[in-house]
Amino acid sequence: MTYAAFEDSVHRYQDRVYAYACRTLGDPEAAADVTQDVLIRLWRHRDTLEEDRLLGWLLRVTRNACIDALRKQQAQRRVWQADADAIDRAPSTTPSPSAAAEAADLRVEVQRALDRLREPYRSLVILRDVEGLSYEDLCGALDLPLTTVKVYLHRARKQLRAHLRDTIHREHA
Amino acid sequence: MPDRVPSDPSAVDAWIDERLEAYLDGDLPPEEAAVLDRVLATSPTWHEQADLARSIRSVLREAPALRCPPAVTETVLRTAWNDVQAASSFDQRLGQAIDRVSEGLRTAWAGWTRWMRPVAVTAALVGAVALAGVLGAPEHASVPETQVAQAREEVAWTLAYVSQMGRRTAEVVRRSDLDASLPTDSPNEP
Repeated sequence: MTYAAFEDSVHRYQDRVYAYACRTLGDPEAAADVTQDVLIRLWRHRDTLEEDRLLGWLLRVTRNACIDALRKQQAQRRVWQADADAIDRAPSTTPSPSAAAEAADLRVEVQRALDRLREPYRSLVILRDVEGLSYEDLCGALDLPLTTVKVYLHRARKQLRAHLRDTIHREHA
Repeated sequence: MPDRVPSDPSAVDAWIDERLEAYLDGDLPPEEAAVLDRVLATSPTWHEQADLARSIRSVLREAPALRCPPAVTETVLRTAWNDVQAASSFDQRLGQAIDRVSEGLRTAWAGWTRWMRPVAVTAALVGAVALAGVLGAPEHASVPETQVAQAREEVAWTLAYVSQMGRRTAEVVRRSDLDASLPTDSPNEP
């Protein structure tokens, strides 16, 4: 892959990689770091990759990088957990926003339900329903056969629906 | 083979729930899709669930597009470009080194060719004289023994030198090396 072809690939896929990382990590800064790392890895491996499998490779590497980043975040969260618990237990001086108003926002609830999904269900929903990837690219990104991708995707959506159904029932209770 | 709807009513809801998303995707076999068509048309609960599923998909599809920060692009492309520049500089230095070695080889070969021509001619003439002396020629006057011995020695020296030069083809041949190796009184010298 020449430099010109690499530059073209960067411009073609950078938004997709960044969006996936951002929606997975929920942190634009961390997502930017992951995106930069992934694209530089693309440059280092440019001569071993096939053009028609590039997107799948990029998303697979992005997913692994996000998983690593999340593990580090969780490790750091455990370190700070003691302080966080103390803050949580401290009496609040400001009134909390209306729970009903917040819950009424379907977009917020969908995002919360999405955050509760486990892998690979979460990645499948992000890549298929948010980013609009084809099934072929999904298979490449998660290294799963087509039938498994479809079954997992249906399960993921069913779980989303179940989370939201519970939330709606709690609101009306 | 499509799965049959369970006869146990308590299992029917689970059966429908498992297939609702595939139904909305159009991925169900026709027989199963027909079952869900009837269920959604007659059950308000399942109709509501189908609406919820469609709403979720709609929200996800309408999520705002995210753009990669320009600083990331800049850093990535600069990293790649720096690698290209470094490789180009290395190629230039390697090319110059190869040019120097090639020039040295060409000089050595030219020098070897230039000096070996008279040596080869000398060796051929000396060899011919030595051969004539060994075979003998009754119609010509006999060559003195001392001259034959000297010719043989010169041929031996010349052949030894040719062999040595053949091994040292990569080295530059200096005139002083040649002068030091050749015998001083050759029969072909004026």
